[in-house]
Amino acid sequence: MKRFPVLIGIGALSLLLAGCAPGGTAPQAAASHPVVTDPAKIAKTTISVLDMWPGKTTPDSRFWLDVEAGFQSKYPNIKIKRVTGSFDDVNKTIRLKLSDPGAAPDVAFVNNGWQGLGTMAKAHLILDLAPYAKAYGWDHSLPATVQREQNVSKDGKQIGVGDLYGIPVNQAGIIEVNYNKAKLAKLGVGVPKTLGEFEADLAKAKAAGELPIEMGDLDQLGALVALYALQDVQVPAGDLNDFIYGTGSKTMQQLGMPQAASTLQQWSRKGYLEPHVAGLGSGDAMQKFVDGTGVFAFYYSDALPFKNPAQESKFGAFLLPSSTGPAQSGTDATQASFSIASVSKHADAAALFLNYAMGPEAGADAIKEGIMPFLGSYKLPSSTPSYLADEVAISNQLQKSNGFVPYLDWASPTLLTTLGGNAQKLLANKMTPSAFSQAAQADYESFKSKK
Amino acid sequence: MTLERLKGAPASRPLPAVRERRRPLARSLRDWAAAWAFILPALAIYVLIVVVPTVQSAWYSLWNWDGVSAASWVGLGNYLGFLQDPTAIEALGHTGILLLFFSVIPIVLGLLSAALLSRGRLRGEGIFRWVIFLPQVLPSVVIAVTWKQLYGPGGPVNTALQDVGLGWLQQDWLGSFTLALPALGLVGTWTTFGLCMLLFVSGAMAIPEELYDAARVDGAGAVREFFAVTLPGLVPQLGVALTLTIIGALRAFDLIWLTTRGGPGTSTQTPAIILYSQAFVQQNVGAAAAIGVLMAVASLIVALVIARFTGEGAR
Repeated sequence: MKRFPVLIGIGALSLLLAGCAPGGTAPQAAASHPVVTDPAKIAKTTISVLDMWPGKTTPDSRFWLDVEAGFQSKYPNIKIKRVTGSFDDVNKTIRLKLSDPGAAPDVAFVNNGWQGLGTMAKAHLILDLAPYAKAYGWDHSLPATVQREQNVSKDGKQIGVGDLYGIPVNQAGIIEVNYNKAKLAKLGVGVPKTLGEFEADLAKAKAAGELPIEMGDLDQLGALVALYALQDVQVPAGDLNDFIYGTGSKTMQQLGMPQAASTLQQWSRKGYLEPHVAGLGSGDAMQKFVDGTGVFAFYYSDALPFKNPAQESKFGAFLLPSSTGPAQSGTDATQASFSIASVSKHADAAALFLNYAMGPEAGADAIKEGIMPFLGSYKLPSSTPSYLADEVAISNQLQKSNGFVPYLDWASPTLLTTLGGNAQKLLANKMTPSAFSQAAQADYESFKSKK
Repeated sequence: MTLERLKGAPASRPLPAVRERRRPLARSLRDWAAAWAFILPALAIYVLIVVVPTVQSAWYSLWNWDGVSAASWVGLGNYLGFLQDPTAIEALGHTGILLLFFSVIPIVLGLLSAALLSRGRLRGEGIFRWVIFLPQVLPSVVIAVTWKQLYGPGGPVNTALQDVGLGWLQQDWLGSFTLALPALGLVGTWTTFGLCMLLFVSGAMAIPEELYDAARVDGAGAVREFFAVTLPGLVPQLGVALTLTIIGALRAFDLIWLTTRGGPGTSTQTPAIILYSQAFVQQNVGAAAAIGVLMAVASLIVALVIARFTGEGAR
């Protein structure tokens, strides 16, 4: 009995330490001041930049080191302090980092979608870049569908509309179809020009005793990548954009999801997919693919685990065509979107860096490191590896049609989990395509109703 | 202590009455101060890194909060939300199955090995014990990655089945809606069995040999001997084993997250997976805290109930 006062005391103390209502103490956006874009007028300073490509040897991290080095030699009065962490680690800690004026990086990777840009903008942890967009002309130089990927409304209740809170770095994350050149040649077919041709090729591959599609879905990723690609070719990019940003009136059922799910389930039933799709992680499946199993593989750009350039040269990539011809739209966002912390004291220098990281020099760095730039057109030297040339062609195709579709799971914070788990049911014939589509719609509506 | 003092106290020289009264007070004050001086550093650290976050979590669980923006009060809404969520109920069912694999089976196996080992010594016993205990000291990430490989298509489990002519049993173990959970459960059995065995074997060693002799004189066989002597002698160890393994099952997370992420479908989801998803994927810090509080309360109840039945008072 005597111990209770002590316990109550400790409890009360903890509540005091916790503060009353949690949150709400986030820094407000810095008072607007005239934006400085002239490098000569930006004071000598050091900015810290938080990225999500740890290490120094992967193509991604080499690309980023090139960008940072290029920037510092072009603007010698600004030094960069690199801070890095894995994608998961940065995502988990970014909220706390940006809330701490003493430790917040000036420039940080903040993932697109509700959980990243949406939450940080709502809490005023990142700067509204509109003044810089105007000063640097980003509002004209960035394709409209790309700008939407970085937009959040002032009240934080909508994404895809409102102000610009992030800048895409010049490295793309596109869902593409990879193919094994030798196997395609053996089947006697070229790169498919329509969805019909693609399906005919799958049948031919199966008949020839080849595995048509290598895929791993143990980690709930492999099937989604294919589903997104199949949905993209059924509906106009604008409709999908509106759905994802919650501004459209069409439902998943009207946006090609039942058809996409049905096609994938059919492929599974016809034995077109990796027989161990349920037990293989997507990374392991892609390892099998580059080691020579499977004719096609849906995956993110620049993510195949090639051992060396010789192995890479045996593969090609294309954007899944629609039933009538080349795709007008595809799932494509920057690999990483970067924002400026509200508490940063060097916003002008930070914006100058973002301007550089989205520009042509950074794009050239991407090509130099063998990865796909996000924006701009590039004259490729004849020595360019064929796989990279394929990827740049995909990027040009999407920029030309302004057909960028964000990742479908940006539409609600729970959608990735819902789609991922249900896609496993779809492949195991435990769910119908229509139920799959309805479950996605229900998830989406439940999120919208809670906002 | 008491005996020593009585013996050492010279009966012929009683201390003056005044000092007799003052000393205990001064001493008790001094003792009190010394006691707190010893306790305070540990207590301060404990309060700061255990009590404060616990109370904070309980407080957060009453709010709808994304972790950074202003929060809104929801009272017990987060708790009701969790208990009314069909996925959460399913996850609790999975915890029930995991209890079988993390707790019941390892304890039964541990008791069995203790019973066998208490009847005689084995050559190389130490090595066996070391091998069986090894999983307990491996980091969970190592265990998860290893078993993901073992269960994988073309992995050792499937190859072994093929080699002994049971090829028709080959499976995508972790990709199967029915088998993924038991397959992960077996990994739990493998991990906790060593701990149970070690606890019971060392507990059995402390049982006086005379009790076994007496049982044998009374004509008890191996089974009777186990139930009459070994098992009652192992009640305290049983308490420890039950507490640790049940709490292990309640908070099962890393093994599952690193292998199936709760899939296929939702067939291996546990409350801890939902907690993680709420906190780091959906950014519902309040809802995640509510799940955490529920798990902590459940663990506390388990520990108290077990202590009630196996602790000193129970015997």
